[in-house]
Amino acid sequence: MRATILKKNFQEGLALAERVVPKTPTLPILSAVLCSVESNFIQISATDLEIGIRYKILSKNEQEGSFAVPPRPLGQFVGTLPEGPVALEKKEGGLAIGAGEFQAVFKTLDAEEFPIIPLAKGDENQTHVDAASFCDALASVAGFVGQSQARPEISGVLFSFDKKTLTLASTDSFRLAEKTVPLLKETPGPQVCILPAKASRELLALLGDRPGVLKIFISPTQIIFHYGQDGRPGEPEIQLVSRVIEGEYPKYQEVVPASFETTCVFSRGDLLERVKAAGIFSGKMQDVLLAFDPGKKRVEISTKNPTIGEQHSFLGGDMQGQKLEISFNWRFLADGLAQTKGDHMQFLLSSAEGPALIKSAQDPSYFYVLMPLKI
Amino acid sequence: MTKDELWQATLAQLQFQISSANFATWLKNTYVVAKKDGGVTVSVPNNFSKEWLENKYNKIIFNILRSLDVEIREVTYLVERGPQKPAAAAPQEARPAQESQLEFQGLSADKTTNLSPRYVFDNFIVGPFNELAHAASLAVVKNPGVVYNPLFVYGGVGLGKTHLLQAVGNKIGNDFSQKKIRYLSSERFTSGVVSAIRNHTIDAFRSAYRDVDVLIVDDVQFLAGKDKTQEELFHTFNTLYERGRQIIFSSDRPPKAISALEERLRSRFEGGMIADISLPDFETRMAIIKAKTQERSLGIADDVLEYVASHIQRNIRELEGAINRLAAFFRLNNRAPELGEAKGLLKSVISSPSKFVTPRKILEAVSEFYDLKERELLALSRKQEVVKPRQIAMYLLREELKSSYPFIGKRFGGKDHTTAIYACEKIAKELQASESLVEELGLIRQRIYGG
Repeated sequence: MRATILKKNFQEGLALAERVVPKTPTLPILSAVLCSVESNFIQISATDLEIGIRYKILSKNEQEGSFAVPPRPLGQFVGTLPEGPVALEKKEGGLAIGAGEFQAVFKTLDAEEFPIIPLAKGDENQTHVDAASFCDALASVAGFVGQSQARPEISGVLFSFDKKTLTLASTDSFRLAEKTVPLLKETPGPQVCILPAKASRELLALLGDRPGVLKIFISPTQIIFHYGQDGRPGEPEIQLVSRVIEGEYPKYQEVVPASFETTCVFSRGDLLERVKAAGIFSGKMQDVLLAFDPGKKRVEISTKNPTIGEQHSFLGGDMQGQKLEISFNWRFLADGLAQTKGDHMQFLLSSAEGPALIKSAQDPSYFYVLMPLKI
Repeated sequence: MTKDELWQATLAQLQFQISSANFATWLKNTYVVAKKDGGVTVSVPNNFSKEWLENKYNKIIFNILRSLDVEIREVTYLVERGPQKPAAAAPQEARPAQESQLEFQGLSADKTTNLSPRYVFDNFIVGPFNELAHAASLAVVKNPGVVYNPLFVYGGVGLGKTHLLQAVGNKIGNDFSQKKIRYLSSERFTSGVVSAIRNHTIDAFRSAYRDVDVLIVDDVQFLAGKDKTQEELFHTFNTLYERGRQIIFSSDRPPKAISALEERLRSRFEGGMIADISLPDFETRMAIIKAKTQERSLGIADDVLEYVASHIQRNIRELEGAINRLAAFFRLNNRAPELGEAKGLLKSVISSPSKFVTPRKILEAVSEFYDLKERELLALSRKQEVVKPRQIAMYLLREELKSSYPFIGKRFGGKDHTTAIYACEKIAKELQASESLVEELGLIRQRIYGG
């Protein structure tokens, strides 16, 4: 095997693959990434047997072949190399790497042992989304996935495909977020699956904010994301395959409140700033008290801490309805405000112990529901 | 050779041909789902295993299978989508100081079974007071539908009936993942019947309950007087029972003491195993409090816990309420309350006015228990169904309040004091003869003191 690849590309591929490599592998080979040199590409694969990824990039190949090698030391070494081409060659003692005046030989593992990553067979349902807006949507819900192992069905992000839209939702039973993105290619009908939290994180890391089209293949047992390099030869082709979580996602629509006692519109940035300031003084419970006063058209945000001190801030806004005092976990509140887009947000409250709905005043495709703390 | 034996024999040979790490990784949770016409279908847990077995081990596996059974000509692999066991019931992350974070209502209960995952056997504390119910439940969990069918659990308010019932449901759900479990309160069953009648969907309603494997109905005492619901439950019960499905009921009193319950339903309730949950003793209460405080990592001194355990005796839910108060103090002041402070904090819980017993309260409890109007109890009627409750009320007034006989007589519509004496003596005598009367009185007392 002999090939030449750009340092920048090799480094990126190794760094992304390394994220998936398990810390304590059940099989020794899983601690390695597989690099296959075929036709005009180098393909880097890694898997922990739940998620598998492939990163494929142009290279100049003189002889085909493959090698399996632990990614960390290799990635570190490649990072130190000068920009430009890196020559790879498989020799007796392992993998020889050369770039300018740098030379190294890495021990390799048997490439034949590396698991076969199950990729799209062609019989799956296929759909297309805009990669950047999909990533944006996934990032806006992925943080609220349930952490508890006792409830596997909410430990992932729910993907609901409809004819023309994809709705992503997540909840940890204290808060809930939903985001809708348009599909570029119509799907035959409604379909749902639950993507594990780790796969969601890796997908976001892989795609970053790359432009272009993301293809999604859905089958009953797995979901595959395929990012192509259509017309942009310098860009990698990226695939991620993940198992889907079995079980039925709870009917979360039922917990979204529909009637409200107090409704407000605030400047989102101003409220977020005040909540963060209040967070400094919050106690062990992370609680912040919000006193809404529609008469005075303002909300008072206060926190008190027996050791640090206390603070109060005010924010004016358009308000209707009843006076209401409600307490939230300030981090949960700040998370939701941070993910809501636009300058102005609606803050809709059902009662002091009922769910609150936060959404952008401009963008109807996203909302966040948060349960308060018991005062 | 059955298909399971075939696969075991294959695995037995295969383990010598591939490394143990590979063996453990790729053949974990595999089994043969079907074998017919020379084709063997192997179920594998995920697509990685499928690819690997298909591409790498197919030849070895096929050769072994063929050596065991010459008729086999083809092996296929299939990823089955079925309920998977959650990875080794990971311990719930401790969430200290998260107690007050409210959760979405309705999201936590499993929609098909209505079970809340919070109730499991692991956090059910067993003491002499609930030993029997617990043991019976465990037996049911091991062999649903076989032993103790139906299981009838009764006991006072806040002693863990619901916890036990839900734990049974959850455990069966875990152990027998293919079993359909349905938990519901009798009130829900009633409203189901009502809406089915209104919408003319009674057939759909019936079939919804008749294809479950485990039916759990909580608080069946509320069925009293609801004849149509009782009839539906009766038929549902019969259908399930004939098919050997497990049925579990709970109530706050034994079947005999539920008034306005049709005889045929009562006798069915009594047909299996009746287990009672009585009041927890001091040691058990102590164990419960300790478990609860540990759960929330509150470091409260033993003397405070002892104080709580010795003063709240009749209701575990009240114990929890007391702990909530202590926890609130803890949060506010960042330290555990001392005994003196705890006494102050719990004053309203422990010596709340509802704890004082008044003649009125006794009359209320008795009339409520026997489903009579208080007026009837005090009237001059000599109807049989009123006479006994009236005598019991007199007995309780005498026993609990040490009221004088003339006072008791006056209270009951100006009866003579000898009537009261007669009533008290009669009940005292019957108590020695009848175990069920003792139980009834116990339950009435629980109502009087339970508030």
